[in-house]
Amino acid sequence: MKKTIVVSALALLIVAGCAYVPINPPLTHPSDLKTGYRWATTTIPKRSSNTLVILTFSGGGTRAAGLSYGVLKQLDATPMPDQRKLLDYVDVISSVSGGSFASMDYGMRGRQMLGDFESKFLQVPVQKMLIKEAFFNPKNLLKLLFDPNFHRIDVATQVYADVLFGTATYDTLLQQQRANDRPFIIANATELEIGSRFEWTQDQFDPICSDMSPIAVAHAVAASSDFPVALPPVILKKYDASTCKYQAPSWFPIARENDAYNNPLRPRYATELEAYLDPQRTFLHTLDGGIADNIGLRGPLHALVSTDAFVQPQDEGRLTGMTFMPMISHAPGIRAIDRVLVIVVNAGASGGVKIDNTSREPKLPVVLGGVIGAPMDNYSFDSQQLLIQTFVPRIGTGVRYYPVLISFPMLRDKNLRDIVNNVGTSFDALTNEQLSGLKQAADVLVHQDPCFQQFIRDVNAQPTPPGSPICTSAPPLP
Amino acid sequence: MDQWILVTFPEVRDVLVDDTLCGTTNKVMMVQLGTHKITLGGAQNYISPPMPVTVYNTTKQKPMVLAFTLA
Repeated sequence: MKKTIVVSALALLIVAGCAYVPINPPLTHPSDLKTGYRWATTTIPKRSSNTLVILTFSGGGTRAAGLSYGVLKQLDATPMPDQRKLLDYVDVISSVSGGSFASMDYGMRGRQMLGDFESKFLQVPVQKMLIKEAFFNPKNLLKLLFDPNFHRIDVATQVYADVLFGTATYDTLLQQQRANDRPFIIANATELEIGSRFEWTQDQFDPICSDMSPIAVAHAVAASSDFPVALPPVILKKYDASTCKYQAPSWFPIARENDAYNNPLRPRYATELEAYLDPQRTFLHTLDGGIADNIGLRGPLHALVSTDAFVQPQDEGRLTGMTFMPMISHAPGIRAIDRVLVIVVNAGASGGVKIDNTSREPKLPVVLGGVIGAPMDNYSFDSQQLLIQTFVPRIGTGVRYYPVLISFPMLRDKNLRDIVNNVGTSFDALTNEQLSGLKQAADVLVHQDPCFQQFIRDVNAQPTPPGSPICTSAPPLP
Repeated sequence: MDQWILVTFPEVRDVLVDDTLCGTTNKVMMVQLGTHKITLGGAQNYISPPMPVTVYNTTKQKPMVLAFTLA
């Protein structure tokens, strides 16, 4: 009897395995900015607050998730003049890898997440669960062997669903956002061949004519944290542009044709869109968002300086992709912004001396770690600098900008710095000391930041004390 | 790098930059460095300067002035 069941199961798996089933269905109606999980369908552009609050959460395994969670807690403990908390003002969270666990869970469950994220995720041995489920669970082993639609990344997705996200889809996330006025969550991955950021939003799915509404958010978090080599890419089907009658935005041919030497950022962005539209490209291979931008800042930065998006505006230009420019410019009938607070939570760690204390040839993983990590860290630093360089010329233009940079080198306490720097980049459970250190680091880093202090003074209409730093320049390093 | 334009017109109208609503006529507004198609909202009863137009080397105090007229 048992033998029959096993043979039948194998036969079923083999038959089922003959057909490729993409995780993302086609978008069968013309793309429309009034549907799907995107900036234009959320409550964010219609909020009344004149303060735009953007958070970015970096990669870095549970270290990043823990620091991001610590920052959310700090914002929840920060009262605003209307008796609400600063956390209630957060408009956008753009996250990568480990940071996406915190952002997505907050997007799904709001404050409830602040009460149990430690026990549900941070102190759970997720990495061990991944190994156990991939290599020691017979059901998964069989599927991995015989079902071409099932890969190790799908085991990871299952684990993330079991631990945090359940069966919640992007449709659920949008309902939660609208019902509770929660932030717009952008889980960032990387498209491997194009080498570009891949945002899990419907604006990004429109050019591939796919409907992300029924996709489980666990897939997005798995893609955002899909560590290269250890896990295979999350593969998405790219449907032909005619499937949804996708219309390229009007800036696209103009920038492509004219701006190569005026502003190379625009034709570069156009080239990315072109790559997504290439009919030869029938699949996308998405990996960890850290490859393209490990601090999740590039998307919000783009929206701060550009109106270019992958979607054509509708309703006389009032419905658009994510851009903050019309709000900053006080365009008529659009939410007017007078303050922009950007909190960059960067959990990048420097692990001390590991190979430079010997003349021995370093082992391959250490070399690879350096080869991959150094460009990522340097790019992250440049992104932070770019944020500041974007804000400096805007001094005196009527809108105030507050770049808040949360990163471990800013910690003055060496003991605390050592504790958080030594938390490995993995999904191992945090020890009590590590968790406590990350929460303390979030507390210290948020409150010692001169731009955060200035923001609090400004929203409470308190005078700026003499000698107080202007929040359009970088905070001094300790 | 931010750039600045001033679209002049006898009436108060929405100003669209590459089809995105970005401001109103006769008020300085910020645009991205580069080449854009600037249009007005409402009735198409206007004459526009040649489009697209490349916006560069401007400041908020010295914006590029784009004179739209009634047709």
